[in-house]
Amino acid sequence: MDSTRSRLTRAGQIVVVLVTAALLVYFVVWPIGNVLRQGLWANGSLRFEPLTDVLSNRRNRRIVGFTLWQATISTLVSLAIGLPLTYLLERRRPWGAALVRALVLVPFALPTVVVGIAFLAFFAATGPLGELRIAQTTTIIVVAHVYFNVAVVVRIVGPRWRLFDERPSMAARVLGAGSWNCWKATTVPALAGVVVNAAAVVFLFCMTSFGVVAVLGGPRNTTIETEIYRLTTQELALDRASGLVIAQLSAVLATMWIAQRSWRRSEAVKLRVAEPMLHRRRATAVTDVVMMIGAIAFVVTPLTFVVERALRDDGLGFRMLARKSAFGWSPIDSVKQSLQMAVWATVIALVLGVVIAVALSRRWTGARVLGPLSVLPIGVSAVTLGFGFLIALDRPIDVRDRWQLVPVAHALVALPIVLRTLLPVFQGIAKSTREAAIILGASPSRVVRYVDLAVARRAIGTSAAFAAAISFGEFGATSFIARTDTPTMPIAIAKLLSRPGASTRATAYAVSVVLIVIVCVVIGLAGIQRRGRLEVDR
Amino acid sequence: MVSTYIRRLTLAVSVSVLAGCASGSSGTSVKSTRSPSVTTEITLLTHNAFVMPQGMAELFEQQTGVSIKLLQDGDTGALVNKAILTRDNPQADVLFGVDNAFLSRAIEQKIFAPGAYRALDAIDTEHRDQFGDALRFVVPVDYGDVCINYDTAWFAERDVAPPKNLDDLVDPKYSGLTIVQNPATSSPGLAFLIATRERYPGDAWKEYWRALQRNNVLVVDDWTIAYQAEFTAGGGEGSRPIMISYASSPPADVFYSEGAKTKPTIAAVDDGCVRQYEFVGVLAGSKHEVAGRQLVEFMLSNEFQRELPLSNFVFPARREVALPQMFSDFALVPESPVTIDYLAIGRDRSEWIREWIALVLG
Repeated sequence: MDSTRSRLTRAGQIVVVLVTAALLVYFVVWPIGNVLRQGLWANGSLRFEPLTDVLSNRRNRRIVGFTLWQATISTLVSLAIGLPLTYLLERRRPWGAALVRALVLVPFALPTVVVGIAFLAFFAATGPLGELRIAQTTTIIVVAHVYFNVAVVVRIVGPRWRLFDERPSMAARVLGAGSWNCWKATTVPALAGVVVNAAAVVFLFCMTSFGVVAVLGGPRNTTIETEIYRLTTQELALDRASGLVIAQLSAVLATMWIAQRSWRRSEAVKLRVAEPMLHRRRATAVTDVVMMIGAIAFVVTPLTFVVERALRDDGLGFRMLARKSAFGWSPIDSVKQSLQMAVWATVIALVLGVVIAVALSRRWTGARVLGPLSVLPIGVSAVTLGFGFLIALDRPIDVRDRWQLVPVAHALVALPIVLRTLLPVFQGIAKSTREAAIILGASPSRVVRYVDLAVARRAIGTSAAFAAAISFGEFGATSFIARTDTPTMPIAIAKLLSRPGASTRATAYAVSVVLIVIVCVVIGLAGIQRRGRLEVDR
Repeated sequence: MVSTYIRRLTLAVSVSVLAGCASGSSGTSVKSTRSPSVTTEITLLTHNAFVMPQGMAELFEQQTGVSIKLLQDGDTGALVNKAILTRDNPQADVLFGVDNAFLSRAIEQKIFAPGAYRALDAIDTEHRDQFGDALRFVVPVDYGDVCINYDTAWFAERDVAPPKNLDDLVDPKYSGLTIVQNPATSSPGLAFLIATRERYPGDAWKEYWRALQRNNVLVVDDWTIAYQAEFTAGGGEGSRPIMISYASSPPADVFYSEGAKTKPTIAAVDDGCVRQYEFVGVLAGSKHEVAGRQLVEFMLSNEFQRELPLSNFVFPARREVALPQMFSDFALVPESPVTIDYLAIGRDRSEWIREWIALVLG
């Protein structure tokens, strides 16, 4: 009886892994492969010039070098700001921590064109920070990348840091270890893996970011991503673009390899469901208050610009929301469209994310292939994926202009971060706890409910908020999918800003404000729901 | 077990986290655009900037019984490149929006089905003959001129004479006042590069651009950034009163002010203007060629053409189409705009951009 059941489970595992892998291959690998085939395959043979060209051509070398450099700096600064903030929010937990935790996620959902113009307003020659003279420099790119990515650090490292078992450190302190040694011996091993993972995700986002570089970096700061965009959409030079796509893929795979290795090393550290010491609030220090105010100011300042713009001309933009725009849709329709896409994208991303997290954390047969596959969507350029969709997804059935492609693309973009949020927690669930539950007679579904879910609940809430936020703000991949219907909010905003005149501009900023409000509400709901459950626990 | 797990999670998350904003709306507006119809449906593929004039799709359906599905995708470059990559299994029946910068590539790559259009006769030779053999595949629908624009209020307030020609932009008097768009990524940017190459032949254009740089020109990637962030008459926070835009920006400035303006505060300079045309044609491999042809002819009809100015801010290609008052009052019609052989643009475009990148971006 038992052996039949375990064999069935094993077969079930393989089927689930295969189906998931097939989906990712169809929507990611197959489209990219088609672009590369077009670019590198000519007259029945593989062409190597585009590949060697990446290394030999001076301009290309400079582009690759600049891409890696700015991404490295952006990642380091994001960590330098994000880690202390995470410590503050998860361990010291001053008053308002929940608010700040929610707030840092907001930039993540904003379309880069809106944030870009807000940043330009501050850093342009005549702006309040114009004296800094960082417009069209690497510095402004880094600042904007940090603005978007602090959320990644806080949200990925946070759950793990919160669950971090303090008893070993306390034991170490009791046994006479100094605070530095104690930190080195207990905190570092427990967090190194998750920090490297967060760094990897930030690095990938910064390496492949398009809007920030194009809007703020100016024409001189070319990255692999903006060059692929130019070569693909303007020059139709898929061969040269393919060389850069391969370079980008190599960097992505190397990043993931490093992240995975460091993760495996730190896996031995276990998390516990019980967190007896955690909920004791500590005295708030002056530094806590300063950091909280700094974090809030950092996130909110660019948003005030958007709100101020939206309110100009006696709120003309808001009055235009329900009216039909020049494009034939009303902005309200685009709000509805975005909500719908976000629901679908969140569901798809969570289903995929939980399946992959379960498969990976329980070492299902063949599951290891799912890790790299699921990170690819943010590692490859949106334009390559968009062109890939177009030339690959017309067979066996033509899905190229189905609306479902939009939430699927959003879910794919959100998947790496959903997974990075879920996986550490799933992996951290002590096997012994699960076994104890089984020995005590719990059915598999009860184990899932009272062990896995109980621990992962918070991470699932977080990743849902992340997925929804990403869907609301997603511009790159969406803009490369041909659409017949009402655009999502970021696309609508970009379209409105591409027309001259006061009313279209006011409408664009009003839609941006609506977007900000919706994102705050979604993130807030995720937070409230969590708190409610914690109380039930007690 | 796994499926229970997933089902629970999906349910829990989708219901609790998103219920607030999602309840009851799922799937309605998405599906409404693809209602099944008994009539033939054809797909019109076009760039993101195109606006279907109000009531025109309905009028076409009344006249022919053919309904239009509008598919919008990227800018002109991306649109043409995608059509080339999918020519074996096209996404659409009719493609509108190829401009003269990409026309030769589209023709060379044979994305259009050949065919003679009656509508050609209604277009003046000025807007027709320069396109020679391409007219066996496509018809020009509209045109617009890319010109230097300036903020009239800015110059009036300071009692400074606004620029009158390309030479003025390198005059130290206008130092630090001009924004141009990157020709590698922006269509008006490319037009402006072409204007300078045409006006300063040989290697003189290089000297002109060096002078522009000495005069602190600001290069940005696209029109939106230039207008919304840097131009004083655009988004509002900008600091430069001169940019590269369209001859039709002044009427657009009034039209989109929602009655706040009776006169534009943007003006276009009648020098160094470059004329851009947009073309339409039936895609090779279309399964509805006849209906597609009807749509092409319809887009050249008087009814459709007269709606173009105030929906897309372009001039109709058809002769004797009445212009709206706002257009005849405020739009600039350049004396002698630069028109470049579309074959030359197609052939040399990449080279021009390479030279420009080397010269200006270094």
